[in-house]
Amino acid sequence: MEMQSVDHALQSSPWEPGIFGLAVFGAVVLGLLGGLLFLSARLTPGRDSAVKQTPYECGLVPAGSARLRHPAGFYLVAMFFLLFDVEAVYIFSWAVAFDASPASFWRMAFFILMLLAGLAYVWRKGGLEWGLGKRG
Amino acid sequence: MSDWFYLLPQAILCAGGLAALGLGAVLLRPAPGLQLGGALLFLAAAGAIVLALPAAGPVLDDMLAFDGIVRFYQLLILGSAGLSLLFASRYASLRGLAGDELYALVLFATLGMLLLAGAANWVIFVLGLELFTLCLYVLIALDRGRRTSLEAALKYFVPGAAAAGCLIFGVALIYAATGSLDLASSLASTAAGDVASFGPGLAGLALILLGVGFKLALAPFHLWAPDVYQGAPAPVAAFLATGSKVAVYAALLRLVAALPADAWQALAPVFWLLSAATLLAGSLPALTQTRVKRLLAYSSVAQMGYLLLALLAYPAAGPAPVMFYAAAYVLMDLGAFGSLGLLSPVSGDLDALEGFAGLGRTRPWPAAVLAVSLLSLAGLPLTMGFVGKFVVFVAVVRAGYPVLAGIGILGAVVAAGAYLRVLGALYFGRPVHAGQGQPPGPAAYVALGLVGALIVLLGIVPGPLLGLLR
Amino acid sequence: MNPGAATTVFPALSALLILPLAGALVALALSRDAASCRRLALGVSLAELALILALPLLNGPGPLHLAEDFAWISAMGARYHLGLDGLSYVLVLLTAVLQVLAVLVSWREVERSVGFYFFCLLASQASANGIFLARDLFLFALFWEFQLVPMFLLIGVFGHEEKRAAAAKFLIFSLAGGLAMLLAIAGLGLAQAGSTGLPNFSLAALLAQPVSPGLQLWLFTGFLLAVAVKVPILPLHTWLPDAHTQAPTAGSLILAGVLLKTGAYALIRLALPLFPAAAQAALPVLMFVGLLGLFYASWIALAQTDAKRLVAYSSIGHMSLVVLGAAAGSPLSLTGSMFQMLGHALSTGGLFLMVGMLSERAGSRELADFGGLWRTMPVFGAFFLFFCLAAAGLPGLCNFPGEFMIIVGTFKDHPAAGAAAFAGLVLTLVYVLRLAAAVIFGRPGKKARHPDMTFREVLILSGLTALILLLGLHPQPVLDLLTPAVTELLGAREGLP
Repeated sequence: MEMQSVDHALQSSPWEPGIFGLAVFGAVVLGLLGGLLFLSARLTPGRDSAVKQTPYECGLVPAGSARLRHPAGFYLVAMFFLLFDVEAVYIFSWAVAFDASPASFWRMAFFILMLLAGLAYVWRKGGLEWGLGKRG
Repeated sequence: MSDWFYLLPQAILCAGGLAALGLGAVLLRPAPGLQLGGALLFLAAAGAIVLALPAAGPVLDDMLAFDGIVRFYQLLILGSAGLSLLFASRYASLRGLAGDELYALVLFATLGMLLLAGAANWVIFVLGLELFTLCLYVLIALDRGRRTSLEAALKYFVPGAAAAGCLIFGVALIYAATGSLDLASSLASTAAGDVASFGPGLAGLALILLGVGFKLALAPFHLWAPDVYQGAPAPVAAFLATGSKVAVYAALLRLVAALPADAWQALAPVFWLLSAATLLAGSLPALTQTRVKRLLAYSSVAQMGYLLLALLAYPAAGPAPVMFYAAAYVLMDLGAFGSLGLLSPVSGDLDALEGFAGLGRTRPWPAAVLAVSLLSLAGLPLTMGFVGKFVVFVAVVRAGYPVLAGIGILGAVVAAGAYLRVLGALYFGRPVHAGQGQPPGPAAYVALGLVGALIVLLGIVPGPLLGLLR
Repeated sequence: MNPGAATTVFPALSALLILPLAGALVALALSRDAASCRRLALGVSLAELALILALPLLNGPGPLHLAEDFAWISAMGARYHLGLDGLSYVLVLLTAVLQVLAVLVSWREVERSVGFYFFCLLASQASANGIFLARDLFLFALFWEFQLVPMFLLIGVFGHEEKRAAAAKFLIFSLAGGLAMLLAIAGLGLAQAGSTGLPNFSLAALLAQPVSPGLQLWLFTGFLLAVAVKVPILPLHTWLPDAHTQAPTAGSLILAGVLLKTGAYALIRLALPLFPAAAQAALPVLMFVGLLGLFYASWIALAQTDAKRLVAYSSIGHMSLVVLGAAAGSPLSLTGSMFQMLGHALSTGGLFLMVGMLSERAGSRELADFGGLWRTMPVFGAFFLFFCLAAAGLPGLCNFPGEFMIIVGTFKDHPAAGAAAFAGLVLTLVYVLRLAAAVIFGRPGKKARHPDMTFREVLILSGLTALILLLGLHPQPVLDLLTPAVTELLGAREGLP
């Protein structure tokens, strides 16, 4: 709830938006991009050959299909893992700032409980069943 | 009374969504009636509390606003969600789509819309907007076995994510320029004559407008609309076309109200151009569509143009026109998409114009509501659309934009040509498929009756509602 | 328009709207039973006619003036205000008469969706009555636009081969005009907004105080667009021949007899008196398009091979004459215009009915298919000749007084226009005689043998014949009804109080 402390009175921002700085930055970016594109267009020989038309342009003939097959369950579990794992970031930052007050403890407890409820939901719905088995 | 009461509707919807999910987890296959009844109960409870709460200034550390306008829009959103669910429930269970996620996501999306409608702070603004957009991504893809449904979801997701980025960048710019996340005070200080904050503030506003313009499908950010509306299941399209638009308009109304005069001077031409472009970009392509859902999508783009007209007139003519037209729009589009869903066979939503031939005779009631909605969209009398258009024109002329009103008329005539073709197919054609579609079921009949009766009733006796809005 | 002079009677005027509307809904509910639908529609139409004939009894001494005025949408300044003066009365009466004929003529012609058919027919009567009675511009616009829906359905559902295109054309043209008028009404109401800031749509208040001449021109253009589509005024007439040709017989009758009249009524009652300065400026243009329409329509009618299309073009010609008379603005020509509206409704309506009866029998409307009906169907031939002569403006029949008054009234101030109109009428005679010659005289064509008129048809046509003779021989009662309205409308145009 840091937002509450923001002063609503008109206060000047610490950030001074100078249009000049932005213009210089933009010019440098555009110049760099333009230069690179121009040089690569001018300096490369630009001859066409059969080898150049092959995928990856590296001279090797690609082997096998580009489409590898993974079981769909793999993605599902990976996604669940990500979903639940990212919450750890929040818990770590909470732990660093933990002020040993009961309120703070119960807030995190509630958060973790919600996570657990989510896990239970996924479990019950068959999201953790591996493979092509019976999915609810 | 504690400020926390003002979060009660949102809390109820959150509890409702969680309950829907929990029900699905415990029973695995809950009865559709139970799910629908429960969801409607939560929506009604939220609505009752919205009605009962006294109007107040910004509450909860200036996070939420709750005045008469917000209350009206929140009721409209809740109504739209309820009617969409009534239309959706049997539609979904016939097609095997009525999992717990349908009800939970609609409730969560409604929660996001309520937040957006009442946002007094940029964080709540973004939060609400993103919450309902995320739910809609999934809802559009509800029929995940169908390619078009997935395509629609992807087409909504990719530009939607880009628009969200723009929106958040805009909010960041405004914060950087003014040092405030409060909607009213940040906008007020944007224009304090301070060159350093005015420029970035306007740039931020422009980016926010871009993000919002995408959500509203304003031209030139409207190109996703036909594909998405076409691919989404019809009741979901009804919800997408009504609830989400109305919520964004509620927020936009507060934004315009909070703008100081010089910022409004700078933005009014932008709104002028946006509404003119939206009116034409919605109406003209509608004329050549042979697919009814795409036609309705373009028509809803054009309707956004009328709402924008009313919004442009807001500083001069007050909020009543934009609110009345919003209500009319919600009913018309719910009626159109909802009855389209009911007329459709299970094998896929009706879309091609030929498929509608003769349905006026074989399925009189859903076809009649579709016809009434189309007549109302075309702005013919004894419907809400006529009064709404007239109220908007009066407001626009009063605000001094007669040319824009002329463009509005041009758009209305062109769009009427498009609606005519659907009406023609419904009533003039010979039936091609006998007994197409499924009986709608009692819930959908309730929704049909409500929508049709309200469109006609408020078209004949709009006085009380208009008086209320003034 | 002095409200004090009006006798307020509550339900009588509303009943004129409610009775057909209720009948329409009951017809829809009865749609399973075709016979009772027909009887219901006839009963409602006759009851409406009786009601209208009884209305003058409610009026106090002095010219006919009944009114009803109630708050309606107070948030928008719109009131539910109905008023009935001589002009409205004549037109409402005409609508009711034609409605009875329309119901009778579709007794056999319509066989499927009978309930829906009579729903459209009765709803269109309710909306036309609303147009003629409304004394609040928003209410007027509501009925004006609503009138399109039943007529659109009548043409689109029950019409002939090309019905869909004709119905769509009709609706798009009318909607475009109607929306332009809607915008003009919004602008007018706002321009006269009182101290409350609410727009003012009361016709009496708006007539009493015209807006600034610059604004008048814009608003008049909006009104004129709507009127020009409905009347129709050249060059916005192109929907009419299609709509007439494709509509069922009763639809053509209502279209010619009622719908076009609403356009001319809006011109006479609203557009010209509301914007006197603009009307004055537009007078040469209006007179020119009126004359142009008369010549153009007669010329095109000469080239038609479809009987119904020919009658449709004659309709355009007659209505152009109405526009000329209304624009010329002398009391005589304005009265003539109003009278001509009645005459045209009866004579052209009769021709549409007869062509409809013929095509019902022969399945064709081509002139070449007929001929010699004088011999094969003598009763038909006699009636047809009578209506042709009425349309040509034979003295003693219904078109003559109106045409005469228009030409004489125009001639006084604009001799050239009056002379040209007279020449135009001669052209009318030519194509009407050609129609008569092609249908009833000459050698019988390949579809010329049919059973003669049935009793029902003779009944319908005798009624019309009686009215045509009555109007032609004894126009004075109708003129007495119209005179107060003419004085009042011209007073508003000349800026008199």
